[in-house]
Amino acid sequence: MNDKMQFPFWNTDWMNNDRMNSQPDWFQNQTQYMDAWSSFQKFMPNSSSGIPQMAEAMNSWWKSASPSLSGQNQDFYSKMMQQGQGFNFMGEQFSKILEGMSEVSKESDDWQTALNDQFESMKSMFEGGNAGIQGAFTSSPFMMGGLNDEQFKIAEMTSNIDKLLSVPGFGPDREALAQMQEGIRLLNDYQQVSGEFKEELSRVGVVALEDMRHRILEMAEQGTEIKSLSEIYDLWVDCNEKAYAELVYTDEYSELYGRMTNALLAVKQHQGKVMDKLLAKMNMPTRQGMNTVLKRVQEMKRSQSKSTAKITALEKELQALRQMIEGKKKPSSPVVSRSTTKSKKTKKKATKKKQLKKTAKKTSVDKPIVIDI
Amino acid sequence: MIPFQMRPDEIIQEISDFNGKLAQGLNTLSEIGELEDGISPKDAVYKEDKMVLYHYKPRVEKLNPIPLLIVYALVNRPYMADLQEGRSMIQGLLDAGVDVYLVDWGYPDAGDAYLTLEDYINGYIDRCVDVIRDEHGLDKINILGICQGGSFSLCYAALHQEKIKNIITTVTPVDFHTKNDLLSKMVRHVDVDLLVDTEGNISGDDMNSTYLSMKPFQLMGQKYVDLVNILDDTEKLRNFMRMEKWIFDSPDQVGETIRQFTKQFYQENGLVKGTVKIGDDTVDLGNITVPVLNIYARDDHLVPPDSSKALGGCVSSKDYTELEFPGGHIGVFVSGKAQAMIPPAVGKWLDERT
Repeated sequence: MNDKMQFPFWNTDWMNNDRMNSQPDWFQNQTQYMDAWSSFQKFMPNSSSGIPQMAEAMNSWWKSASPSLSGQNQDFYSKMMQQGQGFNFMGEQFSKILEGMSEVSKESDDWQTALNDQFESMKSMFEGGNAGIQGAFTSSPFMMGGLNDEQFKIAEMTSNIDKLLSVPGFGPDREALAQMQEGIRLLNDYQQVSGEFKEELSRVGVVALEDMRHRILEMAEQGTEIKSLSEIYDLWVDCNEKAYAELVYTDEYSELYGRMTNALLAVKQHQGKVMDKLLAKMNMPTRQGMNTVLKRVQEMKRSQSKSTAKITALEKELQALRQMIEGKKKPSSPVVSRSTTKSKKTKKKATKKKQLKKTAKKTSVDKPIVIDI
Repeated sequence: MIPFQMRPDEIIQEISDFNGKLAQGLNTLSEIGELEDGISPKDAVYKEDKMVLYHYKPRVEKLNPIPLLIVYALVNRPYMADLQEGRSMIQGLLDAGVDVYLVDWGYPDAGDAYLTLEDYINGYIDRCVDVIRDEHGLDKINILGICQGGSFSLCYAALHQEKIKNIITTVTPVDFHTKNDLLSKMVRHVDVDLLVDTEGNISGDDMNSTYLSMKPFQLMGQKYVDLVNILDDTEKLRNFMRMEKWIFDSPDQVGETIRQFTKQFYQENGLVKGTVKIGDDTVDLGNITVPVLNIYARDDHLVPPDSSKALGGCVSSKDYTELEFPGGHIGVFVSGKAQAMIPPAVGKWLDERT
């Protein structure tokens, strides 16, 4: 593939016409956007015109409009707004690329340099664990609520005094100190593996951008045209999905994901234990105590269900026998049986009762029949 | 040639249009109103704890005399099988003359945290089967499992085959260690005991995050960006929102059950190895000799086709049929293509075996 293709078809006349008047940058173009912004006005209870940036304007509008929505619709539209930011992000980046191309066209006609420069700039946003816009898509699943920023700050702060805290405690506070030290150790473990995980995910963005750059160059070679931002966005999504799949299907990712989840769970479990001790000291119900009760209730319920099933089967058997004895109906086998084994047992018992009945008839009609069930 | 055949002002215009549509979409959203949970009329015929057994009202006079029990998965809600007019597998089955029952597991809470696979399979499902057998005076009924519900149905059939006439599995995982099973890879190294001991029940939101992380850029990004183009169409948006509501309507997962299911099925691949324990019983799929119809989706990213197709090599049934649907995990129930294909095929298959 030729990475140094020329820039023969790009028409930059529009940049010199009266309408634009000057070389536009992203923020100057907001003026144009604000014309379209008028369409939002009727939805804005507290319109704050003159907000310079598109994203801020959208956020401002959303803050005004969202309270009027029901919970479900609000959640849904929040997602729409979030992805709208992704779309805007792509628009911003590619607007810069096109601007860059117009610059080089005047001097060297090397549009690929502008493309490469902008892609390098975009890559830097994803490097070093700073996933930026990508983080919205790849926030770690199975995080069970994760840990908040405050906890991270605590971990950073305490890591420096870890050595100091490793001094064995003594006296009445010895146990509490050991518990605190364990918590810090677990937090640090989690922070470390979480960093590794974020680093891996951030590579997805970089790999995807590199793939996207290559695909654009291939399109140039093949004469394929990109005519809208939507097409660029779809290409970006496609490249990201591919890069993401290449990462997450590996055994290494599976192992890392497991380590990170386990590290987080260890922290949360430790926190739960600390909380339980605190609650126990205050003579309040603890999670552990509740678990014991819930487990026992379920065991009792299971046992009760089995007993009920047995009683139901016996009731049906008894009913069949009564019918047989009273001679009102011909004996019929119970419709429902819990298992084949029970069904066989029922048949056996029914046969036994038949024999018993015959014997009873032979001996005495008035003699009460004792049925052992 | 340079592939970009557009100007920066056109990009700005496109974004303006996008944002404009986004804002206008709020109007359309406000016109949607309440979204129903399933459309076909039904009666609750048996309730136990949070579980409800529904019986659907027939839509044709001539019914297959053997009723069908649909066992849904514990994840998400069963109205996906009855989403809307013309996109309802249940409606299609009723039209095909199938007498349909469905197990709705409800929304478990902390009080249900110690329910086990035994409670679900030998307990709730077995009692539902008995209720239907009692009602119809039958020894055996048909059973259809959806996704995880299919795995449950297989376990049930293996343990209580005397009560099952025919079994149908739809997008059902059987081999949990196939090459393209991302969900399986993700939980492979998770300490499930630590997970359940710490969390108790697993929240529906966390389950959702996990499923969305299979294809995050499409499912959390592109889908919503594409949606902007139909935000001015109330009916299309309503259809989208029905699906959206279902996707995020995720009950919490019972702690003990997910512990057993993840360890025995996902991590140990016990269903194909014959090591799954339900209470004191061991599940051997080789015990299944009744006719089996196995429906899988060619483009399923949650349950890869190979995972479902493994069933053929596990059961002893001499009457085993596979049906491939050309679509994805959800499409097999809600797409227009599926409506024309799946329910009539199931109805015919059952009629031939009644």
